Amino acid sequence: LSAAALPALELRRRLRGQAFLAAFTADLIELELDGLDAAARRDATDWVLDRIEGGTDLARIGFGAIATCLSVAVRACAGRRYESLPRERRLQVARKLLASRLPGIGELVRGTRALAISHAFEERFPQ
Amino acid sequence: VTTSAEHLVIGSGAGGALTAALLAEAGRDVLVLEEGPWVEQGAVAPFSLEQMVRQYRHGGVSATLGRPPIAYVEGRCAGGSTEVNAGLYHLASEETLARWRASHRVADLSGEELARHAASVEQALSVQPLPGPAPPASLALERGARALGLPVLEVPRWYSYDGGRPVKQSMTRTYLPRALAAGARVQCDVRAQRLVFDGQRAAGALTADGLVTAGHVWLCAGAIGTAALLRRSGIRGAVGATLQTHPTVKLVARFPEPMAAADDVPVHQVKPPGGVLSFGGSASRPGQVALALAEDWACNRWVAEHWPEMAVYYAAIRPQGKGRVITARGLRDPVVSFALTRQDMDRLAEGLAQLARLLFAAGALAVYPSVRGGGEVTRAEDVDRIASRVTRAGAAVMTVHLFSTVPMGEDPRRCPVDSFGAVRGVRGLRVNDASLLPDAPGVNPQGTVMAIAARNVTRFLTDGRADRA
Repeated sequence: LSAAALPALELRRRLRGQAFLAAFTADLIELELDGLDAAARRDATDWVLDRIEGGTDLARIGFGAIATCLSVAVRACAGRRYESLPRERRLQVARKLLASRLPGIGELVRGTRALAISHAFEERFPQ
Repeated sequence: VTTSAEHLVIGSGAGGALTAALLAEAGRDVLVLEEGPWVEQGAVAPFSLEQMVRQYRHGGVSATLGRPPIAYVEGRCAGGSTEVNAGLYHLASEETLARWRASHRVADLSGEELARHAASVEQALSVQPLPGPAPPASLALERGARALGLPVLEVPRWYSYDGGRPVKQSMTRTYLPRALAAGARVQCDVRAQRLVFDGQRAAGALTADGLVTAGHVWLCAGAIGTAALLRRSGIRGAVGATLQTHPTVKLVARFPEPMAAADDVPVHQVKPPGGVLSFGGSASRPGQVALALAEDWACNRWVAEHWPEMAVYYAAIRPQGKGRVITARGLRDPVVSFALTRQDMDRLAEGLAQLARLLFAAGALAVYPSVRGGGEVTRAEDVDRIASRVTRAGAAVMTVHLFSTVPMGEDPRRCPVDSFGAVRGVRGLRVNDASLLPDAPGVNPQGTVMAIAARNVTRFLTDGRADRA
């Protein structure tokens, strides 16, 4: 990749809500799954993001659109991007999102949580 | 690059593998295109995350548009969904066949006719009951059903048990090797992008590697894939407009003793009177138990550690609602939608509550419905509150059965193909997979799909006009 291409890729990544989604997934795992060390949390986060990226066009676009909207909303309210908020503030926002029942946000949370939890349990109790 | 064959079979699942084998064994030149990889049966742990990634379409992450969305999974590998499903064998009932004959004017589809073709399928797949006792999670279903006076059956599976070791007789172990032995070619990791035509006749398919020309094209890419390919190729009308499924909602039951449910799926199924509801057991590895508990994780996370004493069960319905498969420019994947009716939601709710009662009657200590805020229910008297939680916003609905996107029959308004799968208005083009079923059979569909596929190929081979048509 040329150096000139990197900003364009980063912009595309942001537009697709990937930075938000990565940070939110990591926070969800930290808040909802006990006993995972940092490496296991990273593994689970990567696995969730890979699954979303490999999902149907509809799932990928849907997750991306919701994540982008949330990312914009957080920036508008908090004055900073979600992923660059102080840790406690970020977890506070994550807890609110996890409790949300709004259509869209609820689907994003359910989907992300389901993928993360199933991965964590399979890794923890290999058959 | 141009490749040619007398018969091009697109898809290698239950319909495609059988079609390829029967045609090749009749001396025809056959080429099978399969979008996914060849993964030997047993090379990947059944129902594992690795299987999801390697053998499921989109890694298992697919859902219909609609409220509620319905999560669905399909195999994407040589052998299709037969490689990843539970291997439970049913044949459509005489009542179902009579309904199909009446609603879609399907010709020559009697129970006797279907059973004749099913017999060869059953022999090829070693369909038989479990040789030993059923798993504890399965026996719990049987016990609960008997306690409540509900009809329960042990479903045979397509497994061999040589030396006591169960080996699923999926397509990569049965019909695909037969096809190869008879001279068929199977190309994996090749996706048919669209069909090509010569006037009113199908002439092959376009893939990323080039053109495949053929005198006859058999579409066996599954209910979504076949409909999408037809639509991408300009054949629309009723194609994809009548998607049917068996929507299910799940529930985890915790028992006082270990259930060994991670090792195998239950073989018992409960069929309450009315033919709309059915109950059964699902794969229950730790990840699947946790997944089913995830809808109320704040409450359930503390009990998930007890997964060895837990098993996942489902309540399924034959829905009134229907779905659509459409294709859109710029999207690689088709858009799949499904609209459950109010009555469908009521039946799912009623089914989940009834399943919970059954499991308490079987000795469950607690049940955990897979619905938002479902929580823990520890007494049979409290199961009614489960039903009230099964809402469009709260229910996690999923399905592993998809069919009816290209229904067969002699009613040209409803049926894009005739009673034997020949596409109307296009010569040399046939559908031969789950897409053909006129509606939801109410039982695991693979046996019926294979028996109908065998019937259609036999008809083609014995009808002197078919080769020219």
